[in-house]
Amino acid sequence: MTSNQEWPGQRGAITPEVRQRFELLVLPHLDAAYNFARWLTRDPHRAEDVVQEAVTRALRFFAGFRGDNARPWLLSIVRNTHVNALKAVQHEELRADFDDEAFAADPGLDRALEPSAMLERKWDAERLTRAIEALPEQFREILVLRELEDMSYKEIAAVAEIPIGTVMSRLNRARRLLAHALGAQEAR
Amino acid sequence: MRECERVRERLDAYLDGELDSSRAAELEAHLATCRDCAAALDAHRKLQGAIRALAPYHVAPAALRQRASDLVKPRPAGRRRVTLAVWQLAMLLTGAAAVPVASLMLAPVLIGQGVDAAVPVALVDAHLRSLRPDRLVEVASTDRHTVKPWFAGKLDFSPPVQDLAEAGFKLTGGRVDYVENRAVAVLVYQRRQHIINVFIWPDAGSAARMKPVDVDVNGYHALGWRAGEMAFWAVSDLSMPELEELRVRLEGTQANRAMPR
Repeated sequence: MTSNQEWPGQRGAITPEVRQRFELLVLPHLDAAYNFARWLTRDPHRAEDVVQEAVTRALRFFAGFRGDNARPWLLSIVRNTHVNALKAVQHEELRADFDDEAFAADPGLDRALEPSAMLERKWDAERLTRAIEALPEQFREILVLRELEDMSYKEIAAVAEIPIGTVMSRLNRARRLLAHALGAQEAR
Repeated sequence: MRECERVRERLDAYLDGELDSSRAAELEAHLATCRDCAAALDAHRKLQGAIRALAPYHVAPAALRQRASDLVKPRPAGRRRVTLAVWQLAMLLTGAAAVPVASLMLAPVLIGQGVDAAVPVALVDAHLRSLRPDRLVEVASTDRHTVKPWFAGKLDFSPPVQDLAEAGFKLTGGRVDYVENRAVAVLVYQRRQHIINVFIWPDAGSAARMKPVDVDVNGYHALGWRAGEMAFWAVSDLSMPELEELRVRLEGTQANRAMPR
């Protein structure tokens, strides 16, 4: 389990110096925060709400932040804000404990990534977006962090609060699920 | 083939540049001789390329950017921001009438403003209680012509009720609540997913108008002010700048000036 020792998360006084540093280090990642929230919530209004709340929380805890890369830190706050909001609203798609193993050995998934199957593929942005949005959240979030945010496995592990090994296996499955979903669409 | 299996397992890491150089070299050596695995890598690359090229990257809308920037701006001058630490909150909530108020950091500030220190804490408590099912409103209506008269006969004053839907604050209804043994009017507004309780009661107070006071009670915001011989407190988990926006709008249109009976 990844520890959050780098991020003490202590509340401190929000002095003008803290605000200035926050503006310099954290606000530049606002787009990343919104993009991530948008893919998580799949709704532009909820995404805005999540980001606003996350920024408020981040400011409160920023005094204890050390380091110069606030992007994974901010995105982990976005993620937690989203998860808490889901719990509060008792959303039906509440994150169940997806068994990673349940997606393990599926020959259908492997075949989807076979080269011949990919040759005639014509994908467009809309189809791809829908396929990504349809992925279970724990796979979707890893895929977004890797492909859209270009984060390293280590950063992804920190944001999603999972071990690096789990990042690898979930990413692998995310890609296979996506290819399979796109293939299934093609078959129609 | 065991080796192909192992290579397939490492393809993602290789693709993402996360494989150490010796393992990467091993893999490349295998790929040079194994057409199936080389094709598999190619397929992986195509999928990755498609995602990166086609999946939209959503940038923050201008309004959100503005709000975020406002959140970070320093507080307006002349406004005292008071933050209660958890221990102070606990002391006040557990009927710490025995605790001399002067011993609390925030007391001099609030009392200097004519505000009883325990009030914002009690209001946040009332706010939290109201979030339980069926506790929020006793009259549910977005129409101020329904909500305002509802208070008649229940309170000895008539609170000003305004429709602020256009400003993004939806009137949800009203109720009577009890704070510090006093019956108060509560107007419930909603902005996005946030519930805002606006507590109102008559308070002639000093002749001078009380400067707005904002209090952070363990993450909840309470903004208090006095206008038209009424005390107002807006309580929510909504951000303080947005509560401030609500205050400005409520004060701005005093169309229904409250009259004590």
